[in-house]
Amino acid sequence: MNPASLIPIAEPLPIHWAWFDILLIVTLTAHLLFMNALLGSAVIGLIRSVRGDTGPLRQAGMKLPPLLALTINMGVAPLLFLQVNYGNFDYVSSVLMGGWWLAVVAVLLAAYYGFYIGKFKFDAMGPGLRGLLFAASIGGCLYVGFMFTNNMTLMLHPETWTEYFRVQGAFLNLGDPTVPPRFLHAMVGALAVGGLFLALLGRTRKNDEFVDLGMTWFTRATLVNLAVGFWFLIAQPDDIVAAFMGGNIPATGTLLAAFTAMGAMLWAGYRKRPRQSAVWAVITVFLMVCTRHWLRVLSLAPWFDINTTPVTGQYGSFYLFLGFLVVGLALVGYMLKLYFAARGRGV
Amino acid sequence: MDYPIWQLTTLGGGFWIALVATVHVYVAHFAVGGGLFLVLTEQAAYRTNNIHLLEWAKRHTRFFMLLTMAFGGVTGVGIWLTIALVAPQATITLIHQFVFGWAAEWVCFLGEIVALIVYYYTWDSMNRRDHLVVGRLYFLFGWLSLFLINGIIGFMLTPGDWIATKSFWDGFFNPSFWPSLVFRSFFSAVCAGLFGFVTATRINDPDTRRLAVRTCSAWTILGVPAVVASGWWYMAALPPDQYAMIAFKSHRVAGFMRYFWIFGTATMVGGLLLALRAPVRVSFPMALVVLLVGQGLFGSFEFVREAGRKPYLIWDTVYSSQILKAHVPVINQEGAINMAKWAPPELKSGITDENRTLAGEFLFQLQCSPCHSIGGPMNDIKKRTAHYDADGLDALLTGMGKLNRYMPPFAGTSEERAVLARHIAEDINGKAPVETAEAPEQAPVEPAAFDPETAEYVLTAWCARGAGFYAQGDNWVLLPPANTLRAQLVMRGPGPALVTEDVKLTYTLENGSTGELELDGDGLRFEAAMDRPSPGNPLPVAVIEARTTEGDLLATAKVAVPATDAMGCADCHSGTPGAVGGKTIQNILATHDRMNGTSLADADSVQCAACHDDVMQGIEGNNDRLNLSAAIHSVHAVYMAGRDADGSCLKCHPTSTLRGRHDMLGFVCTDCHGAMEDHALTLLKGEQEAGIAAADRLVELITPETVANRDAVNPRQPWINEPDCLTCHVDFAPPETDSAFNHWTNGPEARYASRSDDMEAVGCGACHGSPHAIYAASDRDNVLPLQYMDEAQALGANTTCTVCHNEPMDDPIHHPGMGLD
Repeated sequence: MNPASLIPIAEPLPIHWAWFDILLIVTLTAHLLFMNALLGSAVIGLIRSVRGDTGPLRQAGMKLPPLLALTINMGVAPLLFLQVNYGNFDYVSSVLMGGWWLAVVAVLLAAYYGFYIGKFKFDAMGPGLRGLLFAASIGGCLYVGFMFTNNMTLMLHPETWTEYFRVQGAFLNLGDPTVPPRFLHAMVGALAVGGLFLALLGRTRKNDEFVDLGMTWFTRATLVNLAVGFWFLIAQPDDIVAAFMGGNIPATGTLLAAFTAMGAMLWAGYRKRPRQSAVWAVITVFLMVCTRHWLRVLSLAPWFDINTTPVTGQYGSFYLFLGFLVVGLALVGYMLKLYFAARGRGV
Repeated sequence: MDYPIWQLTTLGGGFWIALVATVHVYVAHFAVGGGLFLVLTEQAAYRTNNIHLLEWAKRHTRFFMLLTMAFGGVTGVGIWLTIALVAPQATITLIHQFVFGWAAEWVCFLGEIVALIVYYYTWDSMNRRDHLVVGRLYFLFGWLSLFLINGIIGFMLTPGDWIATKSFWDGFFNPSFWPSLVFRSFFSAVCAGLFGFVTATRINDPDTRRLAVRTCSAWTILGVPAVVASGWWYMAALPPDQYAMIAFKSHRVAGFMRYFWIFGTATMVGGLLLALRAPVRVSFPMALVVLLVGQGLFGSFEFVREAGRKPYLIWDTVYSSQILKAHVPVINQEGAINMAKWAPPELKSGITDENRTLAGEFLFQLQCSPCHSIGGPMNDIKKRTAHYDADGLDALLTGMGKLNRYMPPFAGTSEERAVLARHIAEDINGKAPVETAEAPEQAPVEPAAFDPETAEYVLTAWCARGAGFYAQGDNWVLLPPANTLRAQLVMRGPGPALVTEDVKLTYTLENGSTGELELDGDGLRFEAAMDRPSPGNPLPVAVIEARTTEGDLLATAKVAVPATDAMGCADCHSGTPGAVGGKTIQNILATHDRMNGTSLADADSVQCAACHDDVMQGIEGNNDRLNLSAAIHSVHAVYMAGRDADGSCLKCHPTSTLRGRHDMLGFVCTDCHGAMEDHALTLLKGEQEAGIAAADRLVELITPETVANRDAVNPRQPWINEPDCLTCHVDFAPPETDSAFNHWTNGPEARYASRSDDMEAVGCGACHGSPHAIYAASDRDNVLPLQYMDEAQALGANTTCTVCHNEPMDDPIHHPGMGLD
């Protein structure tokens, strides 16, 4: 069976596809930063807590529910824009995953309330129960991340879709050698950014211990992730590796730019400069998301050319969105200003 | 047809969507109304300087955040993931049409989260003015979320001009946008009150508790009437088709609507009761109960709205089976399996005996599983189809989406339809095919005595209805066992003469009932109305005697008087096959109720002809409804289209209907009456001519089989305009055609059973037998010719003129031919 025959027809786009790719990359960057701060700080806090130091978990634990709220919110947008340009691939992989994919909702909800209980009952719980609760919520987040990794890779490989006819029920993309390094790359990256988040928290609260702890995790996890990233790269099919090794100039350029940004990020990390590191981290994550985008484009190239998708040219609703975005972000900025002003006043 | 199918059995797609959607939407409305409620409470606390009220507002914020931001946020994503799994085609269409509507809603979602986090975390640190500003901004973002989602949800029900323009704005500001927005805004206020009870009933300070609970009561009690009023506006704004689906068409909707009123009233009452002074141990549990009642209110509304959209996910565009409406004609032509990208590869080369089950499973998953479960709590296919065998289900699938538009039409070839029907009936339900009830073997009857040498009279007889079926129960009459026995007494001789004076004709049926035949208005024949059922005996024989007024016996004859209730109703309408019992009748009435909004199943007694005219029963005057024959045949023609006589006519009518010479020669019902569709159209067109508007909709649903188009169908009235024998037997000559369809007798007297020979003396039936039982027919039918000729043939055939004439005749005086040419 020719897997190409399984690919659904792409629906017409309201405006040029490039807009959705841009929005996808920008919002995914934000999502990953929040997710990394959430998951990384939770894991680091839990590890420290097991070693007898509850301080990081207590501090991070207070932030986890709002961080998760923002992570979910920031995850909605890229998933939406992904479905516009690549929905005919993503919806297939979602359905193939079936119950595994839908379970994300229940698991996420359980993890969310786990973090809330951890926040509100932190001192009321014994260390064992508390550790178990945070571990369970972290486990839930890891499950969600693993499902996303599965979904995002399964959609790239229509040649594996025929498994649908062989197995009874849903399946995951476990046969794909890129899945383990891809998942690990995201999770180790989360440890790095989580460490950075703790360091930023320490810097804000003038807690040098937090800064040291956070920056140590940040730099070491980044170094480990360099190795995982290399594994991720060589796990790709040869043509993809070749594309990133000079075969495709934009892809190679983006990867090199990401490396460069990561170098700058490490340099700032080793100098224990959380804010500077944070700026480079945002740039690095953005460039890595761009690299990830090239990986998708290159993987789908044999199956799909987005330029063939018709465009209806209905820009009116796009302007509506831009209006909401500008005014919404302005109001969000205004509320944050009020928030920080209130904190500063300590009324 | 483009996407793989999430394989579901016990918990079908409908369950998952209902589960996630109803709870999410309830909380999501609380997220809007509750935001306004919070900030107004805070404001009131400042104004009245009530520290307890302020403390409650803080605690309620936490409850609000835990519920709306966590549960509401995640289940909102959950709906999205669920519909993408259950209905990827419709979801992706929505995404592409409204991506920026959703993107704008995402911005509002972000604003809500930031506002709520800031609001919650700064109760003790932010100045009052700023805090109220943040609270109001939260409500603004929340309400704008509602505004945006309302446009998209409303589009699915009432896309309005979008159908033609495909414009975002036409779809967004659709016909139900504003009433729906007002309705949902009021509902949000009700939700604020309902959820407010949960924390308000636990305030320690009694005065503040009373104040807070009564405030929640006010929001609830004032909100519900506002919801009902805006709901009425919502309904009134619906386009006619959607309005009809909610208001008239579906019993299912009526059920949800009933729950809406029950839960609405209960919510009001609960709100009132909570306003009364009560201790926490009473009011708090009661608050939880009222909260659940509110969920019932909202859930029933959402079910009504969803049901009103049936059979579509996006009205007039995507069916609930996910099949695009525009694709159906092509799928019917090419086949669903052929068109479905994700059909199992082994089916692509065709359906065989080996892969028949797989094909059925796939077709079920493709077209049924988006809504139906197999043995699950919602829309269980087993419960809904338990009484159908494969053939009955095939009929159901044939008519699905046509007459009852709640469900989409089956899309695929007739072979695929049959495979799906068989899969549901046999593989899922384990129901074996119902065998059509065969006519029981009946012992021949000894003919009455006749001595051709000495007999002075010939007594001949026939029936007006040779089929003679009936269907009735203790409290229900479709068609009573009515027949008319006709007889003529002929005095034999060189010039035989009809005897109509100074004689008395009586009959005695096998079951012992007796009666007298009276001379009819034209003075040609004797008639007796027969209205006795004959359970278990489809062909009871009557013994007729002709006597002088003094009682002297002149002649005796025997004739079969058909009367059978071996109808096939139970094949599709539940009950014991081959009979019309109480279970079948209940099913028929319930089906009528479901399709027509009647309440017959609960009535003490139902006579179909009370509403639907029937000439046979002498009932006329219901000029706004179809006559009985037109109604029953046209409705069934929708479901039994494309079938031969065995698969349509004889699925309902007794198999003993056609017994005579035509049957022996291989003719079937449709040769004279037309195929099921043609037959129904003749009756419907007759009703159209009579000005019965109800016929119009059914005519549109039926496509003629025999003739080119509907215009070519000649109208007729049942029991009056019947197939004309002379269509084929032109001038009584041997036929040169084998179809009599579309040529009807002009009136009642021109019908075969009423008609007479060229001399206007001897009835056609007197020599040829009853309609549908033209000699030679069954053994019992033949009892009369055997009496006179010792042969089963028409009286006078093969030069047997001597039955009446005492010498051979040369001229075919009764009609041309007569075997004498």
